[in-house]
Amino acid sequence: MQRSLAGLFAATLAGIFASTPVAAPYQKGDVRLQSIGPLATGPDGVLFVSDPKAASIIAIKTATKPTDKAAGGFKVEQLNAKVAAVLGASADQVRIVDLAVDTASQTAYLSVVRGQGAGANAAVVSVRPGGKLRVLPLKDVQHAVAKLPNAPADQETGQGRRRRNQRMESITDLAFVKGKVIVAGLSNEEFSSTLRTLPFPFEGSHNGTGVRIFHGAHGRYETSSPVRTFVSYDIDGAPHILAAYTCTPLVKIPMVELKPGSSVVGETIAELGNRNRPIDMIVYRKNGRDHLLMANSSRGVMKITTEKLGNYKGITERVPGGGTKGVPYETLADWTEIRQLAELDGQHALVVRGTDGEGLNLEAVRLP
Amino acid sequence: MLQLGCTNESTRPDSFIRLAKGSGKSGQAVIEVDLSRASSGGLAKPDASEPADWERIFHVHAETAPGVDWRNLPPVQGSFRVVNNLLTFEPIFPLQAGVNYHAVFESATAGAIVATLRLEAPPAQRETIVSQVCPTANALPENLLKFYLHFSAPMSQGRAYRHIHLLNAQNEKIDLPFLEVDEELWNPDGTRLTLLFDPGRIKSGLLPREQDGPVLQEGHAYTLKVDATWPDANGAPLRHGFTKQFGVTAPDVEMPSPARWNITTPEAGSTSPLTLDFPEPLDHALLQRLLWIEDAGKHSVEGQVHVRDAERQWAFVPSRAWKDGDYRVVVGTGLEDLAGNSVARPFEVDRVQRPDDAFIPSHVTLDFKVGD
Repeated sequence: MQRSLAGLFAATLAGIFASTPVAAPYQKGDVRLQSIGPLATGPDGVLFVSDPKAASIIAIKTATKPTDKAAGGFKVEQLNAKVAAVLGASADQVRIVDLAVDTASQTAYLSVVRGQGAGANAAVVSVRPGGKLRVLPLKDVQHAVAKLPNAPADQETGQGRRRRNQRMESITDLAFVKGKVIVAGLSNEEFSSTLRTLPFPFEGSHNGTGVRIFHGAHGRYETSSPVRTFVSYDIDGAPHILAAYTCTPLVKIPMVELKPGSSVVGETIAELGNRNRPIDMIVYRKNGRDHLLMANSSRGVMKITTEKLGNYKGITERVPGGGTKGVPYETLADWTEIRQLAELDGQHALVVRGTDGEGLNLEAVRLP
Repeated sequence: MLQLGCTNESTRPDSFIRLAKGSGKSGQAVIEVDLSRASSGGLAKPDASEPADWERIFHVHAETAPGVDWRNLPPVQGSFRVVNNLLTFEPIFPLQAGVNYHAVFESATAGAIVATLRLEAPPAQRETIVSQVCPTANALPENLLKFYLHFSAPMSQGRAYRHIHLLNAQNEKIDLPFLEVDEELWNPDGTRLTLLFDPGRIKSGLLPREQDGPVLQEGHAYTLKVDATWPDANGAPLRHGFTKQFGVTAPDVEMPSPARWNITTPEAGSTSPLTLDFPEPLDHALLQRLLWIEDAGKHSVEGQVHVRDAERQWAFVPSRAWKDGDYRVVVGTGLEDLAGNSVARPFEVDRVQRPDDAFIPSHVTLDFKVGD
């Protein structure tokens, strides 16, 4: 029997992101990572570790102590060989995923994947300015876990309707901003981007804010736009997210708009050129002015002025003949081969930098 | 410094430093030092009682990369324990087969004694293949959003994009056609990679598209090529490479409309499939996750989903025979076609032509009846 079903729709079910994460306060025990993604640091030595496969963020209380010592001499050559060494593996089996720095204690953290396939292990390696590397202990440590709400369609409502869940949401960036952990995700199925905010400490039940992120090009075309990296910045006293999309535009999003279940359209403030991927961003203050540094896959590190962000209305017109447009920026000629970028102290950034071949160094670089 | 096998029998490193397979807490290999042999061999027993002290006296170094001297690298981290004069070092992570480990015992009388230890790896077999690439059709829209590469076994991750190429009709490689994200969009098993076309070259009005145009162009032919050199998770290259040739049709800007799907309902008492036929191919992965059947009580019906006819048909075979009654197909409105247009909204919304969206629910349903 074959017939058309025109007109047989019925609207059903709840909103897309109205699910609640399961969270818990600090507890002492083992942290078991199924995978590892970006890292972020928070107050009082807390380290946030993302586990995309488990759709979790784990807050680990580290035992680092604040220091006043300047870390400008921070330099570790052959970083990847040394990380591989403490993990007991060959360098080609070790992948450095992300870098985060606890500025108070001048401790760098690397999220690392060791091995491949079912035998792969996730690890966090700490690096001190003197070059000492330690695998962060994950056994019997004070930690708290926040389960990210995954898309509701991942919830098993019946047996057999899916053979196996193939969906996974990569975590593209993570940051602690004004008492909240903000998580940017990218699905491996739907073309969508979700920003989730989790109040920290992860106590009690709360709604894991899921905000669909869109991009409005020239005030006309609107598309889903995965966030590659972001940083928080106050514009005229109002907290904002400055986000770089995978399709290159830099946008600003007022944090007040990140409400559960809402959709947000980021306003383009710069287009940073083609054949390029944003990697990391930091904001710093020098000589009484704020600056944004953005590391890119192929267009080097850009220093972007933040002075006009408040009254900048965004790009709504095309600029004929190509080129970049929006807020002004300069490309830093000597910041080459930057793979990871983090703030180290008021005067320095800490970078993972490529050397000849497959080698990597970790080094402090004076902020421009 | 003494090297393995180059000294007299009593102080040969392998006489008291050895690899013990399966002796670790999780059955992994550990490295043991027989402290009684170390003493009887004329080597003073080291004075260490705390685990941290043992690391000074006994440390293990991995040869991590060619050209890097292991002596300049920090030691492998792990735990130490002493039971019955046997010092056991258990690394945090299992020792890697095929890697040389240099175990250094700092003797008070004989200096540093080094044993080189190695777990042999069985030769990796070239067995893994690209088992399927979706979409399976060979005519694809200019604004195609993604490919799914399916493999017969888990693959190595971290260097995927260097093994995947898009060639034009002249067999020339197209520069950076795909969005290269460091995370690489794998499924949890590591057997499926989602390969997104650079969205900056699909979306209207963005600089990458303005400067370089779309990656795929209507009327042209292309080849997706996967190198045989890509190692699987065991380190073995693929059994053979893979190519998919396809032609490009006009951009697809239409949203999939369930109202236009044809449904074929089964007979009561049978386990015949319920089939949906679509006028265009839909996303292979989402067809398996965002479509299902519910009975009148809104309980999900158990069964198997089969996606066929180049992603134009969805067939559901129930685990148990259909009963008479009312059913419905539940459609998640995130279901996309090949160009990322979903049931809820087109990939790209032109706000001049469409200033406001109507409310779109997360799901819509298609009702059907089995039996009279």
